[in-house]
Amino acid sequence: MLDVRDLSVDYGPLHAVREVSIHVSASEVVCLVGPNGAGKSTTTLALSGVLPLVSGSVELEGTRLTGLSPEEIVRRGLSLVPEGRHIFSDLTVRENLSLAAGVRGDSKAFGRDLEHVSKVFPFLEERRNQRGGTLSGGEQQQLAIARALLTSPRLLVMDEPALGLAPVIVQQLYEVLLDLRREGVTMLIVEQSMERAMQVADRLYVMVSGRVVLSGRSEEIAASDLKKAYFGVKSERGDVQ
Amino acid sequence: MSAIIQHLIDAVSLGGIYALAALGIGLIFGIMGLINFAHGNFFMIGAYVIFLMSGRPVLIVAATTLVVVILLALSSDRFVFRPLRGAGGPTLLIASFGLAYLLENIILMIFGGRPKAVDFGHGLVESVTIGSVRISQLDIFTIATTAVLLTGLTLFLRKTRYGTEMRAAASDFRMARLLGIRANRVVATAFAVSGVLAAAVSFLLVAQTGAVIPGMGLIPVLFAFVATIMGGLGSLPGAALAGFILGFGSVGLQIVLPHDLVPYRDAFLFTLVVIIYALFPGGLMSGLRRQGGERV
Repeated sequence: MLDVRDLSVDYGPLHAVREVSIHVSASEVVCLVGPNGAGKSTTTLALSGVLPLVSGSVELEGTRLTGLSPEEIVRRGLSLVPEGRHIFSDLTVRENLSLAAGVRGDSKAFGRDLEHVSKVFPFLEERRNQRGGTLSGGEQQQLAIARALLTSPRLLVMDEPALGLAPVIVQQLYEVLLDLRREGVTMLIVEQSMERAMQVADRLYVMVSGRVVLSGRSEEIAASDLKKAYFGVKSERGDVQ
Repeated sequence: MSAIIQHLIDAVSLGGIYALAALGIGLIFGIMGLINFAHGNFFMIGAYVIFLMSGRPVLIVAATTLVVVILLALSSDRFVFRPLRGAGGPTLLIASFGLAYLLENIILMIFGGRPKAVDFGHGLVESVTIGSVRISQLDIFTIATTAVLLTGLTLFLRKTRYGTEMRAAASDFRMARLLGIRANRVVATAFAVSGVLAAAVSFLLVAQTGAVIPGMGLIPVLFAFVATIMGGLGSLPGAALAGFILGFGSVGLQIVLPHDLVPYRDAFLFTLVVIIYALFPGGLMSGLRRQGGERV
């Protein structure tokens, strides 16, 4: 479904991401893990068209996304929930959700999806007239995910969805992500916690210093390999890149 | 008592013009981070269209002015600011100065630098008497226009899809784009709405002064700029509120200042503005918080 080949991104003179290749198949959940500054968020911003690529290519279901604007990329099926949630704090919950309708040609289908996400996130209907900025952190994160789901994405990309949330809220959030996984939603999730990544992902990519240093199926990657990858030592199992 | 009511009406009338002008600037700033100094020249161009069309039925003059100023605003986005998408605030500001000079010099070349009387709004000089208060039809026209436009703008921003998209883009442009909101369309809509507001200000300025002259938009746009900052950059309710505060301040000082000091009224007014800035450094209203630093 998603094919990222040799993606490189610079911040001025800084090489933030170097020759990263990622593949996500349909209905698969893939986690991008790594320490702070590894280039994970930069990768998601590049995939969604916010940051320009220095080189490489991005394809979603055979459609080339390279060089397209963020608004065109979301129309082609890649939706990003960026780090920090980015709820429109002065807009109501309903207005936040309704913004996603712009990318949908079919208002009936949008209505059906709105009903569905309201079942997945019941508080959305109860608080539809409440301003986004007055929701709790966990509710804002769920609103951000619901909003992205309403764009009808083929691939949902989430950047550290658990960041800044209380442990009990994180657990609830991950239960929702597991529900979405059971529904067959294809996801690429950036996650710092290896434990949480293992909980939800089919496969993992480990990034360190702007490069993918290890990848493989979650159950095949041993904890020792991960530690080595984090500290820059080549792994013995999994695909070292 | 009637004198007080009369002064209040004058203040609302003047404040309304400042509020409309400030909203035009605030709307563009909220979305693009651009302080568009050429907005004052939109007033001027609108006024010269009214001058050229004077003598024709008011509705035709109004429709023509509206269309010309909206097209001018949209063209300025398309040909001046869109090529600079992604450039920093200073670049956009300098571009708006350049556009302002260009428009003013085009008018100077065509019409010269002398003021020209306009046969427009003379029917508004008469007054109506309500009780012991005499209200000029011009004040009624100004207040009614302001009320209609402020209500219309509020409804547009709150009740329409485009309005919601504009509020979202003003709050966090990058996130709005990540939800599929088209940047160029939102910016063009903002310029079109600012064109409507500018055309209305053109009408009110010509109706009040009865003349057009190159540079006539400078003073209103300076007051509007001050109101936009005072209200809290990016806050439309703040810009409107500050516009009315400036109107009340101007009229109030006109009344209370000794006769010899009246020519220096604006110096006193801006001293008050500085005090307000000191008390509310972020503006009178917190405004649409700029969550995402990115602008187009």
